[in-house]
Formats: sequence, C-alpha cells, structure tokens
Amino acid sequence: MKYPVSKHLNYSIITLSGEIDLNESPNVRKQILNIINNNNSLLIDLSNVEYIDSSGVASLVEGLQTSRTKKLNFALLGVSESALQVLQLARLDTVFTIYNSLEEVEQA
Amino acid sequence: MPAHNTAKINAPGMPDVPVIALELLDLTNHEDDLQQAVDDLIEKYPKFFKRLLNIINSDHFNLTSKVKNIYQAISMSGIERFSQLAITQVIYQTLNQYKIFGFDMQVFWQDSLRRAVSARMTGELIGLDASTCFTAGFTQDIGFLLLFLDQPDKAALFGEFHKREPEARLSMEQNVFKQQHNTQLAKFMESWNIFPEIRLPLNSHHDTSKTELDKSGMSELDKQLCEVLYCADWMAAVFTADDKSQVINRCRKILSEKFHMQPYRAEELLEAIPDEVDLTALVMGIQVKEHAAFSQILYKANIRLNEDNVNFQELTLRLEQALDERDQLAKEINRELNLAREIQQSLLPESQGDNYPVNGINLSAKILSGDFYDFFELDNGNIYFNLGDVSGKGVNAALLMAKTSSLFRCLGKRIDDPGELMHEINNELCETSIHGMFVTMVAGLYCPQTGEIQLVNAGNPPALLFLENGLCQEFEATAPPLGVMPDTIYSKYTINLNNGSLYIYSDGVTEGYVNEKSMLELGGLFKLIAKMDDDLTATERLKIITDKFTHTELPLRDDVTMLLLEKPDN
Repeated sequence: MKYPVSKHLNYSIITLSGEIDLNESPNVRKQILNIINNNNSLLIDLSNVEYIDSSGVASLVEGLQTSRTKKLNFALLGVSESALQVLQLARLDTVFTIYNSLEEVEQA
Repeated sequence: MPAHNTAKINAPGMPDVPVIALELLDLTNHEDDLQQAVDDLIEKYPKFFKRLLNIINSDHFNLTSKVKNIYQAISMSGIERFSQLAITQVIYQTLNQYKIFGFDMQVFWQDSLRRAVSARMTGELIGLDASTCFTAGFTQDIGFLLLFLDQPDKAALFGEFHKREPEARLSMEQNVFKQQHNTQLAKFMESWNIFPEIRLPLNSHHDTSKTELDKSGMSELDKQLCEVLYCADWMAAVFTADDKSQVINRCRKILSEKFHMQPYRAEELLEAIPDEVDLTALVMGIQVKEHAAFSQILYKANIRLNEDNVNFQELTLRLEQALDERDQLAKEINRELNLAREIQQSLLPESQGDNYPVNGINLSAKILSGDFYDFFELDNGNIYFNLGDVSGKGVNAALLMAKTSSLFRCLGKRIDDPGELMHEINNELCETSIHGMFVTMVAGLYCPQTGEIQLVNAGNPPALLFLENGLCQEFEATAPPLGVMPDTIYSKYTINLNNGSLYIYSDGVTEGYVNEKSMLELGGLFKLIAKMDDDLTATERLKIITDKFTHTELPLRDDVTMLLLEKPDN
C-alpha cells in the first residue's frame, strides 16, 4: 500500500499503519528510501502500526543507516504500544530518536 | 429478353409469368383431353419439350424405364411431378434472361443445381420423391436472385453473399435488403401461382427446429422435405463458403441429427454433388463453371483443421514446455536450497550428548533458517556459546546467519571476552550492512570449572535462568542487535550457573503458536519449564518445548531455536 506522506518543518512525515511484516516490509523499505534518497529528513509515524516484525524493524534500521550516511535526520514519531515493545525488547529504543508528538519535534 | 411470351399479372417487383407457365399449369384442367392439350403445347414449344423429354429420360428423373414421348412421361409420373419439372425449366429459362450487372448468373444457377441435387439425393435416402425434392431444392433460393432483381444496385455484394454459409447469408440479406430471400420466393410463387404443394416447406426451410416444424402445421412429408431443403442449403455451401471446415462439420452434424447418417456416408453424398450437378446441368441446358471436387475441398478443409490443430498443439506444446521449464527451475532452486540447507546445518554444532553442559535445537520455518546456535571449547576448557536470530527470513537471512556464525567462531577463538567479541562482530557486520538487516544474539562464555557464565544479550529476548529453588532470573538485552550501530558497547552479565538451567531462545519460541489463536509467550514458557520433571535430560526438556509447536497442525511461522546450559550431573 502507499502510505501518506506530509511535510512538517524540515521533515517529511510518512505515516505507516497496519501490520508491517515480511510481506509488507519491502514496500515500506522502498517508500522510506525513496524519501531519504531525495535528501529529505524523515519522521516515521508509527502510531497506527498494529504489528511490526524484525523485517519491518530492519527497514527502519536501514532508513536510519542511510540517513546517517547522508547526514539527514531520521526519527520515529508517536510509536504505538506494540511497536514500542518490539523496539524496547531488542533495545532498539536506544538506537532511534523517538518523539511522542510534533511539539517534541519542534522543541528538539 | 425472356424466352417465352409473358402475361402481365398484378405482382409488383416480380418477373412476369411466361405464357408457357400458365399453359403448363392449365394442363391440370385437361383431364379429359390431356393428350390433345399436351400435343398442342408440344407443337407450340417443340424445343422446350424436347429438352424436357431428355430430362425426364435422364437419371435425374429416376423413371423405371425410358419414355418415348411427353404424354407417356405424364402417364408414368403424374401430371403434378411433370408440371413441377416443366415449371422449373421455365423458371430457369425465364430468369436466366435477366442481366444484373455484378450478379453472376452462371454461378447462381450452379449453386441452385447443387441445392437441387443435394435435396434429391438426401430426399431419396429417406424415401421422398426425388423429382419433387429436386424441384424444391432448385427453387428454394430463387428469392435470392429476385432480391437482386428488385435492388440491382446491391449486385456488387454478390461475391460477399456467395462465400457465406447459409445462416450468415440470411442475416446479410436482412442487413442489405431489409428482407430475406424466402419472402421474395413466397411472393414469386404466389404471383406465378406455382408449387402450391411444396410452398410450405419452401417457405419454412430455414427454421427446422422441432418446435417450429410442429407449429407450422405441415404434414410429416412436408416436414421431411423442409429438413431436406435445410440440409441441401448447407451441402451446397460446402462448395462455396469460405470456412469449409466449419460448413463440412455442420453438414455432418445436420445429416447425423436429422437423417442419422454416419460421417463417412455424409462425405459420400457431398462427394457425389459435383458430378450430379454436371450431369443435370447438361440435360437442363444450364452452363456451369468447373468446380472443385469434394476431395480437394476436403483437403483444404483438413488443412484448415490441421492449421487449427497445429496452432492448438503448438500452444499446448509451449505451455507444456513452459511448465516443464518452471518445474525444472523449481527443482534446481530446491536442489540449491537443499544444498544450502546442508551447509547451514553443518554450521550447527554436533550434539555432545546429554552429559555435556550445552545442548541446542533448531527448527526452521522454511528450508533455510535465519536462526542459529553454536558452542565450542576454547583451549582452556571454557565453552563459548551463542544463539542468534537474523531479521527477516529466507536466503538473505541464512547468508547473514552463516557470516555471523563464522565470525563468532573465528574471532571467538582469540577473544575470550564475550562483550569484546560482540563488539568486534558488530563492527564487522555494520561495515557491510545491507537492507538494515541485523542479528539479535545471546552469547556467553561458560567456565565448567567454576560454573560461571559471562553473558551478553544483544537485542534478543531475555535469557532465563531457572534456579534450583524454583526462582527464575531474566537477562534482558543490554544493547541493540548486532549490525545496527557501530561501536556499540555490549555490557556483560556474570552469572553463576550452579545447579540451575539457563534457557536461551529466539523470539520464534515465545511468539510461536501453540494453537490457532494463542502464542506460547513468555508466561507460557515459564510455566512449561517450571513444571518439568527434574529427571528429564536436556534434550528431553528442549523437545517438550518444541513439541508445543510441532504437535499442532499449523505450519511454523518463525524459526524456533533454543539453547540449554546445565551443569553436567557428574
């Protein structure tokens, strides 16, 4: 599916939703990389994500790694409870910058 | 100019009826002085009656013996049959005089003769009067000529009509002339006052379904004639229609359905048509063009059938080839995957038996696994162990698994600090990171002499130490998985195994489905381990857990891998 993309400050915001599993991850990866490769800093809104598996997390990791190489900002926004549990379990919450709201982004 | 004098009657658009026709029809009123009336006519039209005598004496008329004169012919065949034949001849002679630019009169009569001889031959087979069938067959499409006579500006389309099969021709007539030939024929027969005895079958011969025939109110004989005419139309079309294979097949079908004729018999009939046409044309004085023998037509039709068959066969062949190629490719891929699986399995350590401190199990959801475990002894007797889970599944996960496992073994032999070892492996993986793939791992170094374990958890679910007193300690991840962030520090837990059991597992265990709705989850794993009998071996304990997933009918959704560390009994 095509996820909605909006703009806020210097960020593009992509709003993911539903289940990000082995089938959906390649699609998510493509859309994330497409934004980053156009030299946009990216916020990934995970507030509507019901489930994310390790392949989905890998797409986020790749987004983070690519953004770093390109010296772009990359952060997660409003991570849903289930997605947060996955990230916390793997201590990936220490790797990603996580904002709870756009206000937090503005204040950062 | 018509061959005979004509009498004007009130029938707009119809050819004037020749006087001879009226005179012939009038013969039925001369029952008492028939011979005189016939003689008068012969005297008046000697050529006409000479030809008629030839026709009557030809095989066409099917008399049992030759006749010497017309009167004798009438006596033998009856005035009605004689009259029909004579009128048919008049119709030909009269209408043949018209010239319509673009309308090939010779071809038209040849087609009419084909219908006539087809009707005669088919009719004879079912016991109908041959001469009546001939007359009806010859006349049935006269309306077609009359359509062009009425609208000669359409004559350029003659060729198009000619190559169509009967049904297509009818619908083209409707489109072009806004009427069909049977309407014209009906008007014609009425205006000439001819063939009252066969008008019904002639008018209805295009719709011979049982329902229509039953509705028509025709006698059984008329119904049979109707079907004969319908069939004759298709038989004649074999020699003219473009799509010969279709028309031949239709003929076979009609002859089989209506007259129970075997296909070979149908072909014999069709084969006889050209010669019959030539003979009849000769006696009737009709010039015909040379026509193709049925064998040639059959050859052409067979070519067409063969072409269709070849196309179909070729398609089938290509499809079979594509399927074969696909199967072959699938076999090759499977062979490759199975080879890869063998290599992957060889990367897992051999079991050292239940009396060894480390035991492991790995079930893969697919041919290749993204999980792995390993253990090996260092020179000082300490044992390195690990359990890893690569993000994602499939070949790429399996390759990263192989790389990580090899790095662990290789670097582990010279780095005796698990934290430092993970740091090195992580940096190696980060250098060549692809698609953001990462590896969660629990790794440790066990000292059998002291029972101490130095443990590192990089992004994996917590390791569980079940103590002798029934309590359980969890060792959660202290750092993200390998391959995510270079220079990550991996802090260590120091654990004393004592007589406890250290369970390390991939998320396929806690997220594995034990029935259609529920996952085992951490709580389930706790309970399962807690109630295990103390006497069970390590292998038996691991099997009890993995049986939870293999004893359902559900396929494994994720790889399931476990490692169990226990101090040996002795």
